[in-house]
Amino acid sequence: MEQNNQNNEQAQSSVGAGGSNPSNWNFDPVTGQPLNRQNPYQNQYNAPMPEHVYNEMIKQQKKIQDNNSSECRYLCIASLACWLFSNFLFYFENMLHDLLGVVYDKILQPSTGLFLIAGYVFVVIALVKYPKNTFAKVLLVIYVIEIVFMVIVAVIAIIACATILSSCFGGYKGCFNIG
Amino acid sequence: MYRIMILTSFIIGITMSAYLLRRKKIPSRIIVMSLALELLLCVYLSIIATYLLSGMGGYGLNSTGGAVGMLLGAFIFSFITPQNKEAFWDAYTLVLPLMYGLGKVGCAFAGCCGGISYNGICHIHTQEGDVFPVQILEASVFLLIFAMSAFVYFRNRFDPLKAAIIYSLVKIMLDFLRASHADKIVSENQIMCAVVIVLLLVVRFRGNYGINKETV
Repeated sequence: MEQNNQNNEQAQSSVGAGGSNPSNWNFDPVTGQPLNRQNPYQNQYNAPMPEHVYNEMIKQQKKIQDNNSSECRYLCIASLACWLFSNFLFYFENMLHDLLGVVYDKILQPSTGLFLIAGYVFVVIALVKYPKNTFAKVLLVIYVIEIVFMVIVAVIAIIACATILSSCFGGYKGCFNIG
Repeated sequence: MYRIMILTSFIIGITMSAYLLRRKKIPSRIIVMSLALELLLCVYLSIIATYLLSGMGGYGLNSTGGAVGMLLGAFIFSFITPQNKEAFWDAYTLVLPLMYGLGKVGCAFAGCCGGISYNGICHIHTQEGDVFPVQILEASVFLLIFAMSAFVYFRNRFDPLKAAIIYSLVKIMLDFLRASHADKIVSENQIMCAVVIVLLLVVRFRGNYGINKETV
């Protein structure tokens, strides 16, 4: 009986050694004795890893962690939803005005900017917490392009209006016949 | 000239904020993201303030709305990057009087935000009569306040919430000299500034604005 128990203990320790527990991987699964493994991250001359290789490894690990984060994914999806909704409100103005009337004119249309800002805040939070996430970076590029586009259109509109008005005040009769 | 001064005030305000944040060693990507948010909030709330004050009748630019947008941006970023909240509050509050002063120079050229009837020294003659040069006074006062605030900032004694409350109080006092304040006890601008003061006091007492240097 005692011999069986001892055999069982040895078998259990053998099963534990080399099993699913990583802390047992440095032990021989049959004898249970420690293995003298060479460090797989060291070269054949047993020299330490170069710093740039180590830094690149850490960077790749961080990128994988950030890209696999569910919190970041939810933030990016929320940001994308806000961006899509704000653009939908902007580009389908006529259709929404016909459908919703005063509700669109007084409430939804002024809220277009609010949804865009909310989406931008979500993507900023995602990028600050998970700087290597690809989804968040792409979203930020989209937002930056849209903001630059809005600024350019606003500046052109201001310049165009100023030019037209100054033409009218200068006595130019055809200032409203554009095109 | 009005548009040029408004654009100039935005550009100089953003540049100054970026410089102050860079001085506090904030990473460049964080600065760029916060400046974009500030620009969005400043323009959006400036337009929405006019929309609401006009009874949902029209759009325009309102300086108090723009200032609220800047402070709201600093507030939001103080939650996103709590380790840098003091730097954000300092930078975005310090540039407020500079941007407002430059904007008022534009108003002086455009003739908007005019003063009460006045025919004493330095009055401005308009089609509606002689008025007080309130735009020039506001521009001068706020640019002077900015210079004093910058002096205090570089001496490391700048408290952004106290400063924002002072700016709002000065704006309330100067609003009495505006034509829009005629026949009113309290104008819409003064009410908005009072609301801003109350909100800043709430933020201060909840302790979310950052570390007060005097107590360190």
